[in-house]
Amino acid sequence: MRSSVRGIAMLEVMAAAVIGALMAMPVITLLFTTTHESMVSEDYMFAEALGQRYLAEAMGISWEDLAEQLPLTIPIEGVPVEDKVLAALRKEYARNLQGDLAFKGKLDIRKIKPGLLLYELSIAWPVRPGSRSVRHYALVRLRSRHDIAISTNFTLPVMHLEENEKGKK
Amino acid sequence: MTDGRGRRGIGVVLPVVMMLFFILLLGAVAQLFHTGSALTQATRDAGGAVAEQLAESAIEEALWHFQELVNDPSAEALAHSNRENLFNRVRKALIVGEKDVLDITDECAPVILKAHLSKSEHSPFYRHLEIESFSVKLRIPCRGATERIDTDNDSVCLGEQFIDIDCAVSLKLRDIVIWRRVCVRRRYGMAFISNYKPFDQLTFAILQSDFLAEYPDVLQKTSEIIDNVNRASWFLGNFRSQLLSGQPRINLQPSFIPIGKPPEITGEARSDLNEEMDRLRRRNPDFDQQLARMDEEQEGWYLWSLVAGKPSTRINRPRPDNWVSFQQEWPFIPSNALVVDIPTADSVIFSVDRKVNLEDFDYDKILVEVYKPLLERIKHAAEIYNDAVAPLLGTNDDPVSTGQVRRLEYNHKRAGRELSEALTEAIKALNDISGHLKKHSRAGFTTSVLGAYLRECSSRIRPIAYHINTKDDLKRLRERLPTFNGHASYHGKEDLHLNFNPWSGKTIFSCAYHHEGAPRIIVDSIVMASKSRDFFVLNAQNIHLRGDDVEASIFAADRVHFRGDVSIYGNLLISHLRLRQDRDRDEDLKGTVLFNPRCYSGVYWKRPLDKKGKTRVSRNMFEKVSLNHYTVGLLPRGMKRVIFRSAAAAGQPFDEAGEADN
Repeated sequence: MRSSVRGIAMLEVMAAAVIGALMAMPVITLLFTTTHESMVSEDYMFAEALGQRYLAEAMGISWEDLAEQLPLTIPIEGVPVEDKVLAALRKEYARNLQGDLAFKGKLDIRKIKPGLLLYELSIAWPVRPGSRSVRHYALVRLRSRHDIAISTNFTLPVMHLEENEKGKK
Repeated sequence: MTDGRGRRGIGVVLPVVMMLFFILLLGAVAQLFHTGSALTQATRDAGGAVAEQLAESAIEEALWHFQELVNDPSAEALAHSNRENLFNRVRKALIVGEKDVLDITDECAPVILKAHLSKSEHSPFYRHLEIESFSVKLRIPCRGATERIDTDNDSVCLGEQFIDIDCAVSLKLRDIVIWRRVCVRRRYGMAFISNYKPFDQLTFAILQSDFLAEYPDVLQKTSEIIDNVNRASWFLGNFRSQLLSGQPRINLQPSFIPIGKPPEITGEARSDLNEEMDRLRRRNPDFDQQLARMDEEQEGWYLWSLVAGKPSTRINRPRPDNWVSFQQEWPFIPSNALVVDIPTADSVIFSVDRKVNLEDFDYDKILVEVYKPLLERIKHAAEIYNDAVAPLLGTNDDPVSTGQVRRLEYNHKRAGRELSEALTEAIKALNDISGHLKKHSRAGFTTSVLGAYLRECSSRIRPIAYHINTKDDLKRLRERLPTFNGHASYHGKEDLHLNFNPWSGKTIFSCAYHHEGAPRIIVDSIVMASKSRDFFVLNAQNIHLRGDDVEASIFAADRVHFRGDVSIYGNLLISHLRLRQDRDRDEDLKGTVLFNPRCYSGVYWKRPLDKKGKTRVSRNMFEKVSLNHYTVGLLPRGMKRVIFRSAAAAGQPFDEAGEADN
């Protein structure tokens, strides 16, 4: 009589399923973790790039132009006008600046001393859509005016005449 | 249905599943490590950017402190330190310091940045940041003001001073340590706001005067006139005594006063002259050519000399009574009446009086307007005299009976009086000039000092020289820096109007040198906003003063024009004043200069050397030097910027690392 025990036993399948399920849990957790970390990394890199970009642009404004506007707050929100084309081409870029997960923030510029400006940048973004918890990226930068020495005032003394007059007296 | 024989062992599914899961697990773990590394890298990048910006902020604050303190003489020195304030330290180091590096870290510490970080809403995060090392050093490979002290030093290197700022920041985030070091090198410079010693003490100066080269000739010619007049006096005395002694005739030598028209040769004297000329032609074949080369007066006197003394030119004796007063009106000028002790041509003409009337120093103009008309009067008087004497010499008639003596006497008196007055006035005018020159000049100055001075003027300290090419550039500079301490250098070719009312700042305004066609710098008005605070030095080749108030120390490197009566409060230095015939009419000196004591910047001194020939710096060296006349500024553009991203580079010297990054 020919043996008929070919194929996969139910028990085998069940055991494999149980073992597989048990082993899949940490793997899935790992995958979630890595995905999460990737997103966090990506977010920080984007925040840094965004912050550096706004800071560089603000640092490029001349002193004369800035002086008339201080204190100045530059909002970081939405796609900048000059980036509309880029945002249309690269959806992920637009996604980071619009919608529930958008990066938002501001760049405050104010004078803390005559000839010394403080640039304070902060960017925040939600951990996940609808979440109240947010992540932050902050930068501080000082900027000094390079010609304040040229504009300072100090008196010129009258040296020899005073001495001569004292001598005469 | 089975045969009851169960399968032994495990099937193939489980191992396959487990193998697959193991592979998956390995992949997941690998991904975890990878993403962990990516996250760490992202954190490092983001944290590195923060640390870098912090270092940059500390550097910016240091530059701010440096600029604030370096031009503030009233700034207090650091507590717990016996050092002077930064204002004095930097200037002294630049003028004649002993060290090549000046450490100003303490003065420029980033206190404002630290205070802000501690108050910030993100201070919990900023607490992880730490400024590990910070240094600010001024490098002084050569001294900016050396050329002021050693005018004979030709190897002065300007504009090489720079400031090195080095800041290292670490950021500790859990187990990650992020480290950034930013090094910045910026050029700075020091400008001297005045004219160099001794020109800072002069109210007015002409550094090179063509008049001084011409003046000895004027004096020489005047001396000759005086000699001739005195010789004429001697001749007249002799003439009179011969007449009185009853001698029938006298010999006249006409060279006694070879100015004016020579006596006319007529009658017998003419035939005597022809005989004499024929004789000379026989002896000298070139006689007529030589005669033709003489001018009319020379020829006339020469021909007269050929016949003078011959019988045809002898005079009959007039009555002695008519000649009594012959000599009384004739002037006699003592040989020392004319002052001939004058400065040499390489002298500088100057005044240190508080107020100077410029016209008093335009000697050539005085010569033209005062002396030359007197010279004409002298010539005219000589002509009167000669016209009166000549007929008397050329006749044998009795001069008394013909009335010639009376005419001679009248004309002689007239000529004598005219000569006396004109010559006396001329000598007085020249003596006034000579006396003024003697009082206001210093010999040998031009050759010994002027060359070096002009070199210095052309190479003022450049790092804070703002270049201006058009009048719009100047307008923009004024708008951008309403107070300007430094050097504005005009490089345009168009004429430029200076109308600063008021001007604020301590400024040198110079015009780049042009071999030909220097643009006109037209000074409409320069008035300081504050006389105690602001100061203006103008240095250009072609200056036109419109005649308004000018509060400036002016150095005219070539020509200065006076379109009106200018009133200068400061001082005026003219490098070269030409003779009147070589200059425009509006170059005649006109107006007044009132000395501004703020032109004075200090005393001239040589660096004392020790026995080994090294510079010795004493504490009282700067007592009489006005450090306030030096202004320090930062060059807007960076010279070098290096960022180190590894803590291994903590001690690496700045000079050896990285590439220039402006």
